[in-house]
Amino acid sequence: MTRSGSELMTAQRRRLLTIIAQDPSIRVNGRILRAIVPVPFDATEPGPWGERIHVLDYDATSNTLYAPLDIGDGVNESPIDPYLDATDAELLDSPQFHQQQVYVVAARTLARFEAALGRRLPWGFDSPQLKLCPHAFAEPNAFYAREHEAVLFGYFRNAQGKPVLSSLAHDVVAHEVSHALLDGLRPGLLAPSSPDQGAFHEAFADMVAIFSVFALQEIVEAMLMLGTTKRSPRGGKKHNRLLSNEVLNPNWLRDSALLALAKQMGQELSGIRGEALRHSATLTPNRKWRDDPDFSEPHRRGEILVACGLHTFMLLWSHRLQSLGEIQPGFLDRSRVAEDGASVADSLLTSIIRCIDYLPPVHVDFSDVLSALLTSHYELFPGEQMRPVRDIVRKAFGDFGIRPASTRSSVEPGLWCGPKAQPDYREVHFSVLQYDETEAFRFLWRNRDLLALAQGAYTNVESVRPCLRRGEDGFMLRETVISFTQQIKLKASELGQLSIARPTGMPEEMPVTLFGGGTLIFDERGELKYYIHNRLLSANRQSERLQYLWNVGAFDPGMRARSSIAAMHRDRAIDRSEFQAERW
Amino acid sequence: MVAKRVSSRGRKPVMVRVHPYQVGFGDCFLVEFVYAKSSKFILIDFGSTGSPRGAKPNFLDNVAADLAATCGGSLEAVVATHRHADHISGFATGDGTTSGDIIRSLAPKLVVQPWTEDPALGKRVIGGAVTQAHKAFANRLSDIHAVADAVVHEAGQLSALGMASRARELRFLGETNVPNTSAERNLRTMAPKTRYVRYGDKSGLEALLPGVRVTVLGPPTPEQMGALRNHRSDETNAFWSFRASLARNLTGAGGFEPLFPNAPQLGAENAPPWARWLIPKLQRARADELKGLVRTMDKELNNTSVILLFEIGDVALLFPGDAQIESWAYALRTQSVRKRLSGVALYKVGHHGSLSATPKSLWNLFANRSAAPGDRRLRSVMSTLPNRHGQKRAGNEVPRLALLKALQHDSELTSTHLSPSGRAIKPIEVRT
Repeated sequence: MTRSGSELMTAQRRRLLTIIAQDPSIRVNGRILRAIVPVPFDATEPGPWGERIHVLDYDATSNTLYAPLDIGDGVNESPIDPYLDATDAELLDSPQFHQQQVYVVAARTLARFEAALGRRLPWGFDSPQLKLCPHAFAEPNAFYAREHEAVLFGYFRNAQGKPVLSSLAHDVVAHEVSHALLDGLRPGLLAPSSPDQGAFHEAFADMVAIFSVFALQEIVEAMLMLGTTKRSPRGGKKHNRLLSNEVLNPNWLRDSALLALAKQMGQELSGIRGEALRHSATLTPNRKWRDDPDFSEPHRRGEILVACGLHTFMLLWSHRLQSLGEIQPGFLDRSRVAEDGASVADSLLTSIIRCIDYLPPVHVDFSDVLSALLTSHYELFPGEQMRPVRDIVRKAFGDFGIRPASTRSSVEPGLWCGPKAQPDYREVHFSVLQYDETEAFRFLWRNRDLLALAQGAYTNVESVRPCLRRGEDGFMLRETVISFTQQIKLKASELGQLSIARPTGMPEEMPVTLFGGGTLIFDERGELKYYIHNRLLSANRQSERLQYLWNVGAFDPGMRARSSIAAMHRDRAIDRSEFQAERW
Repeated sequence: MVAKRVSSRGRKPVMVRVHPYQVGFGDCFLVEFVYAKSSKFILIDFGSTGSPRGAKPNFLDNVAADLAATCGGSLEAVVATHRHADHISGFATGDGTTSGDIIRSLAPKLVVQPWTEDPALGKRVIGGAVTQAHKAFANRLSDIHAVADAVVHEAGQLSALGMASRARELRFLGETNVPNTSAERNLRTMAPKTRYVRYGDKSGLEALLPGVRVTVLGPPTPEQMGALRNHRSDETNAFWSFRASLARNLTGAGGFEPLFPNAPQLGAENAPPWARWLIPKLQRARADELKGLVRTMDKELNNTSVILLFEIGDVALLFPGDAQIESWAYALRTQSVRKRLSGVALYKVGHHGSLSATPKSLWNLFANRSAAPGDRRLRSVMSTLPNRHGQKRAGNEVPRLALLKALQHDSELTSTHLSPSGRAIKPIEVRT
């Protein structure tokens, strides 16, 4: 049966479409676990081809162009969910369902970002439409490629000859689209900088992918079913809705439920990028990981950040469950536990996405990420009631030895701060500042000493973004996020004049570009509320970075090709060390 | 040139003479240990995947004939550092007169190959048990060959789609990695003894070369590498296994058939306008992805290279095959090895001068590096052919210009690509 018409459009003009909830390896009662999810309305052409996403199903290995899926434009034609009643075999064997899967997950990921940040988001290239190719080539890899304005999903046949498609994995699709969105928001973060920044893109995409999946109640319920408890309710199947209160222990949530899911999830796809969730889920909190050289590799280092995210999730979920009453001595309501888990994942996902606005535009490290997370959460929920959530976030990261970058806040530990003194707002029109880069530059220029800008550096306003969010009183607040970068080109021999150490072995004539930059957040009255800055002339940090970049071969002409997301994923899949410092 | 063969009584060689052969893109070094009254010869590698300019198709047969004459018709041993075609293709046999037949007729007493070539690899007992890691590694090698085969196959497809230059590079790299059954069989059977060595093993060469200490510095086994780094070799194996099953499918009867042949399709040849601009982009992306894959594969096999250090007194000669830093990392962690490497008098440049086969930490160990000419100045010898492997704009050209500059500045370099074509390359003499 195929539902059609208004039945499939909710009041918010959304389509309801069927997807595979995670990937075909997650089954319940022998059937692939699926979900019917709302997708923001888009007047689509066959593809689906909408305002922001174009699914284009060309397979470069077999030189085949599959016919596009038509889900109705919803304006003149009724929207349809063509796979509502499809069998598992039909889902697996229909390239047009795979088109639907990538379209739905990508559209939801985009919508999730836009809802969290309160504005439309650009991609990291000029076109407004990201292309998705669900059967791009016979290759166990999937990656976002800025130069092609596309996300390419590979496929392969497993040892039994059965096709395995990366496009059918919810987390893989969400992961790649997150790369594309992050690239649009912060183009500087794909540039080589520090081990933390090298890890951040991948870890961020992982976290968005994992929490997007966990935000589906169907998945959390499956996770709880996979976890084993010591005590079961009496009465057999009719008491399936009961769950032992062992789940109140965050260690149970991690060691039993999460790990059991991680073992199943993406089993067939582990050759694509290793077993991301499993590796991070098994990392127990440890403050000394920086002493382990394995974690100097970006793909391994990223697992630490993802582990912090998972640890936060488990602590928050467990915290939420403490207030859930037992419905029988020692037992909780299974669906309420799952509902809470999905809700925690969803709100953590919002914080993770929102933290992008609170990051410096260049040279991000894990401490910056923690301060950004805390500040973005504080801005949404400034009251004391939600402070325990931030305490838990701080603890979860602290358990991995990560402290907030900001130490000056008098409001709450770890929050970013404003400038040290009152800025000069004269001749700066806030109404213009909200959208105009020239006015933003005027503000920077006028306050260059206060903002500690590097004199003589090339300065560029990277973006001026309005940001809408709902305030505590329920009113909409319009804030403004401005980011700028600075750069200066020098010969290596000139670094000493800025008290920056020339990396060992770097020739004196080697051209070097130093980067710095900052993010300014103005409140709705035009007051500069937060100033998040990585100074261009910070001698210690620049010395460290240059030595690292020199060691990893970032000054090689071929570094760009080697730092593509495709190469990053390949290195991750084979756990390759790069030994860049040893290369010529 | 025919060496005078006299029975030797000398306790150690008075000189080592290295004869580099011009094989284009490949390695072929005849190493002559000169004793007071005789010489003993070993051959280290013999293969090519890119012939030198003006060479005839059977030029390897001529190289073999010259080599046979130089060693006076007898070899003590053959070392095949690893299975890449540019190191072993010359060992392939034919009608009795081809290069591999000629080398076989020189009756080497011993063949040395890496542990990864052991036919019993999957069954090899170490410490009383067949290790899973060895079995998995044996599978990985066979997976890599399947992938290489598919890459060559797909290069043909890309060529047909109009990407000739990308296809050429892919075919070159792919062909280097496909198995050479004839050469491998010849190497397994040409000598009464074959040693399959890993880091720290005895090579068996000492017994044939009096007064020469021979140390095997590579390749390490997965167990040895495991001590160095918490490497997730299961995932590496899974990576190759997936690609191999895919590759076997591609090269099988279905070939490049669509994954879903019965699904509705639009003709790619006559694609609708909205798809036309993306199709060539995707084809290029596919070629680039394959290139990344084939380079990873190339590196995996390079790192199975035997690394040999020959020491006569305080004079050392280093032949590392194509070993790259991932393999070198194991040997370089040991202080005593680093100390011995500092005395290297002659260095065979790893992997034709690529960017990652002469680790900087190794190069910096060589105490005989010097800009000034002199008897003690480091000698280096390289066999390479530019414009075959990698690209300058990608920073991975072979030979890598930055390395070449350092070799020319700080050592006395003999390189096949710098030697006049059509003339024999002058042997390098190292006095002991």
